[in-house]
Amino acid sequence: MWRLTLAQMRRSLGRLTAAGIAVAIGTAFVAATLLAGDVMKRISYDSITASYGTADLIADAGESLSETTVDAVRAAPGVAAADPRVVVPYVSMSAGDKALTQTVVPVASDPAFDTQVVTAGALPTADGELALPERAAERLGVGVGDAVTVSYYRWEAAAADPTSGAGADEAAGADDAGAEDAGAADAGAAEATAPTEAAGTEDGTATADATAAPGEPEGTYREREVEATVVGLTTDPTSAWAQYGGAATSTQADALLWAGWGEGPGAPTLLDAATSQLLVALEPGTDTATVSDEVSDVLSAIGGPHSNVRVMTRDEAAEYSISGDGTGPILVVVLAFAAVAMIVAGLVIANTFQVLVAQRTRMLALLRCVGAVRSQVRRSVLLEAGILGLVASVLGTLLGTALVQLALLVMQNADLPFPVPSVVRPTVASVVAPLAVGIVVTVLAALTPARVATRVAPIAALRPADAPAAGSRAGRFRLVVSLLLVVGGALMLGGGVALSETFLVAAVGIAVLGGAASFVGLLVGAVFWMPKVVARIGRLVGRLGVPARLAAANTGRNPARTAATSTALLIGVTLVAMMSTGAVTARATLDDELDTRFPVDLAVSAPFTADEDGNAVTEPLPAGTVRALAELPGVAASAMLVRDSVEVGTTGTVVDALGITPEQATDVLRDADLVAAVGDGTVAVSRAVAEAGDIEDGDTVAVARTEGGGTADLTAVVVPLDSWVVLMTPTTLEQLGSPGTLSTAWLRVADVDASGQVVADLQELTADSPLDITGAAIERALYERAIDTLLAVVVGLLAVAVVIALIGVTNTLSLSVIERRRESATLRAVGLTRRQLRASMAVEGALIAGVGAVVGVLLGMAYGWLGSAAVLAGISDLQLRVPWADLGIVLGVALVAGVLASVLPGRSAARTPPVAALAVD
Amino acid sequence: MDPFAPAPAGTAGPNHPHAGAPGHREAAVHARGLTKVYGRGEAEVRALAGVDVDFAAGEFTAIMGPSGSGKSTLMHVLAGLDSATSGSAFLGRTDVTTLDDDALTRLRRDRVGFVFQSFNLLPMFTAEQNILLPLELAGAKVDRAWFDTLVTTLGLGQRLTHRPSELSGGQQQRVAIARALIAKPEVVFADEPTGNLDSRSGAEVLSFLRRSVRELGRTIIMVTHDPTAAAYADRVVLLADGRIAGDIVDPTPEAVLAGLDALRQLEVADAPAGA
Repeated sequence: MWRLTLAQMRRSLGRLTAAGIAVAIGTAFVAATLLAGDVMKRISYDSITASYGTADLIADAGESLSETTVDAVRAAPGVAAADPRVVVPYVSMSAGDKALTQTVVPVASDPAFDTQVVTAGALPTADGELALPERAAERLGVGVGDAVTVSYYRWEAAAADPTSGAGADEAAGADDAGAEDAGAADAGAAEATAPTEAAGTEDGTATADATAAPGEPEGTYREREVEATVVGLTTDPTSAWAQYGGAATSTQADALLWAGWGEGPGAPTLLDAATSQLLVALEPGTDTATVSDEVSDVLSAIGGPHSNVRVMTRDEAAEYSISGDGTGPILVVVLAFAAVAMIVAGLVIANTFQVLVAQRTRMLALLRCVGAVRSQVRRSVLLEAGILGLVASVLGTLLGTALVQLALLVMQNADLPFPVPSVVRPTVASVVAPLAVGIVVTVLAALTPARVATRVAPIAALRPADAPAAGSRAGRFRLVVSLLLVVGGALMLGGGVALSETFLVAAVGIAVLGGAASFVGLLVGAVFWMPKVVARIGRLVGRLGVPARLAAANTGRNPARTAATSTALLIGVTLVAMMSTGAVTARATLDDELDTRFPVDLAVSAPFTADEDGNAVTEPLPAGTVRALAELPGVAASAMLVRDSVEVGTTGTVVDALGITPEQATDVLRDADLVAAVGDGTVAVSRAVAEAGDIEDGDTVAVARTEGGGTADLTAVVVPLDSWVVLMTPTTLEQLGSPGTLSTAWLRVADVDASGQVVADLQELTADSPLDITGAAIERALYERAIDTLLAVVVGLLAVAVVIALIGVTNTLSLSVIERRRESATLRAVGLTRRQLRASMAVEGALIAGVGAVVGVLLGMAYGWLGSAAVLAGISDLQLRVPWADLGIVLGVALVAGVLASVLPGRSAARTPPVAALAVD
Repeated sequence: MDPFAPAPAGTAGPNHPHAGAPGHREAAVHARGLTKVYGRGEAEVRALAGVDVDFAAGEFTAIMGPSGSGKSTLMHVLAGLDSATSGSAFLGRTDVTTLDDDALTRLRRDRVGFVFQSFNLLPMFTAEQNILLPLELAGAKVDRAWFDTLVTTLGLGQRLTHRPSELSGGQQQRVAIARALIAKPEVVFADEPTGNLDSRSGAEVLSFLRRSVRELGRTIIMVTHDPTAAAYADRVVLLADGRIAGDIVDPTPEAVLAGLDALRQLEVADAPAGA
């Protein structure tokens, strides 16, 4: 059978190539996805291990390391060097009027742990010396030999000053320091560096108990400044510290001191850094496992029997520290798209084999006549599929690998803040999985055609040439399955949407399952409904002229094949349309939601601080900032507002009051109701405040300044805002005794859809100040970027499925050309011009692709809306939208692609000489 | 030779004394010095070796000859389906050998009809749609009276809404004949029209062809290898080795058979010389 199969494959090379391309693209997708996942993992491993220098082992003592412990490990046999891993983030440095915060790491005790390259000067050798990353030195405007002021907080005993007032002052000061450190710790915790987290906690405790805890030295943190000399400049070629924006190097003592760790009069010790990680370098020629055990023993001996000692290799350590990072789920999602591409490829393959079998009906019958049994015929078809799958999958895997390699090359030339591997390292999974998927899908797709092939009766060999070819009738079973899936899925989808108000997560799950089930049902049943749709649309198209009528009639000749081809395209188009409908709907809905949550596009406010008495004080916005805000490009209007803290009503509800004149309101507010609510004698109360203060629209409420001052009775106007504010005029606030500090700026953005740029500019403008930026534009910029990125990625991934489907359209059309050779010739003989024949093929291509696209767009819109309804129902009122532009593009692309897909088949059809009509085969 | 001159009777060369047409009719189709060579060098095949022939309008002519005699090639070239190597082939006053593909397509659409051995109806169209196809391609108006005449003459009244797969072979070929005649072409070429039919249906089809000539005034040129079929024609042109080898007017099956036998003996006699 081998020889026969191979001979047949040679004869059908053209057909098989087209199907093979579909398989190859699908498998390339799978391979590229898996490899990209590996690369992502590699990058995160590398960026973690890069900070280990060339350490061979990373030990975790399970408790804070002390110098004694480190020395014990250094003394262990086989250990060449060992250093505790200390990272001090957010050290404030300044030179002249320039300031920044910089992560500092202690200089390594051994070159093995060096992570940076010194480009000028040297690494510090004594306290008070500092090596800066080149970029930081540039920003500070310093070079080797210059001085930098380092400011840090230092614990000081309070015994020297016993007065309570001073104590409170110090407590307030300490509070600030604690807050800053806590912020630093939060950021550090996000990056999962154990020492910072521990340090943050310690600081917090120390601050809270500063003056209260008995038996502990009383005292407080005070800010200190010290001069340090820049002795070297460094670069970070392995991007070890790229996530911190580079790391400065100092002695360990300085690093610990500047970190502000530890309390008590003495200098901080390593124990205060609360780091448990130890980098270990081995003596040359020693066995890693042996030393690993040795280090483990040393640490266990010190830590006791219950210590949680762990000695890891570099990769183990990286894996340990990023366990549960985000790449896993991403990979699953991308693989889901790869699965869609493979399903589409499967449809194309099934189609191809169905036609191959039909073309070979006579040959198969002849084989059966001369003694081939059914199983041999089936094996031959499946063998052919297997060979095709193997060849195409190998090519696809190579293609996928090449694509990832190409991406790596591009990434290496881009200056990225993480180390990029130079070559792909194919893993077992990235080779085996695409091959297996490609072969299995191809063979599965060929199963039905193979069964059809076995049904060819030997007698068919004796029938005249035009006898109907072997075909399969869609079974009742298929209809039942399809109906069950569609109806069941639709019910689940509807149920999910209905339930989403109450049980969001469960409802979304049900809706997704229902949507998927109903879509699969529609696809399974496509052979029943798709031909009818094609016929209906074909009848309309057929009015356009003879070529169009021929095309319409031709699409109706092999309904199953047309249906399968359109369906292949339908899948991709539906998903693309669903995504873009979902995106615009989500955007519109969230926009609507934002308008009710934020009164204004952008609000910039100065923070509250405490005065000597511990009372909250509103700071004014810096004058320069006020001017700069108004001049920011893209800002249509700005208003400077007085802010104060007031108590509203009788329930003790304390809220921010903003003083805004009706003119200002008209300028910056978008909501007309809100503008109307602003006036002397009224207070505009947000919904949230109204609820908390039990205030009804039109009530007269007493408003009093929290920090002492007057009271006024105002008419409440409840406005559809969710934020914790009330609005009144500055005059009213003045009557309450407010000092009238202009602490808040409200901005209206000229073009809501372009607010991303304004937000970016604003953030840059206020980067070095403690100003608080809120507003609809910020949120809008955030989610718009998220939605746009997601949409771009998803559409990009789905494009693969669409491309495969279009290959299917070409395939189907060229098969038709071969089948209809005699007919084409007859038409030419009776007077069809070449152009008309090509036009007919073009219309046929556009019809097949267009029906898939139109139905896909309609389905996608329905799914997009239902999906949005399920996901967003809990959040706010759904704003159904149609992404006209996107859908138009999808339809246009499908139609053009359908026409393009007909070019090659059309040319070959037009080449058919009319004489062929007279040939008898 | 003046291609526009009416072909005088009895002007054929000494090798084919019976070539030419009866002088009282104008030629619908005529060829002068027509040659067709396939391949080159060793593989060269001379399918037509200088054919001069006239086919009169309003006549039913059969072209006969043994396999490889060039009868199909002659018809292809005359109908503008295939190009000539040299010489000219006229449909009326148009030299089809000089036309480009588009002009040929228009010529076939407007002035020529075809009847094929394997019917070649479009399976997705009904009988009526198949018949009207040439008019649709030309964008021409349907002459309803002519359509009815054809349908009645060919006995297709009950079959117009059927698709080809629902028709018998004879019925399909009658639809094909109607399709060939619907545009009132100057000439209809029929290539072995009874080759795929049983003898009863074949006889039916042949008598329809003859009726279309006698009653509807059409011109039909038919290629066949069946002497019985040829006997339905008004005249039989015999072809051998790419040349006109005989001409029988008002043939009977016996006369045709005798003519073919004569050709075979000629070939047998020629064989040693040709080999």
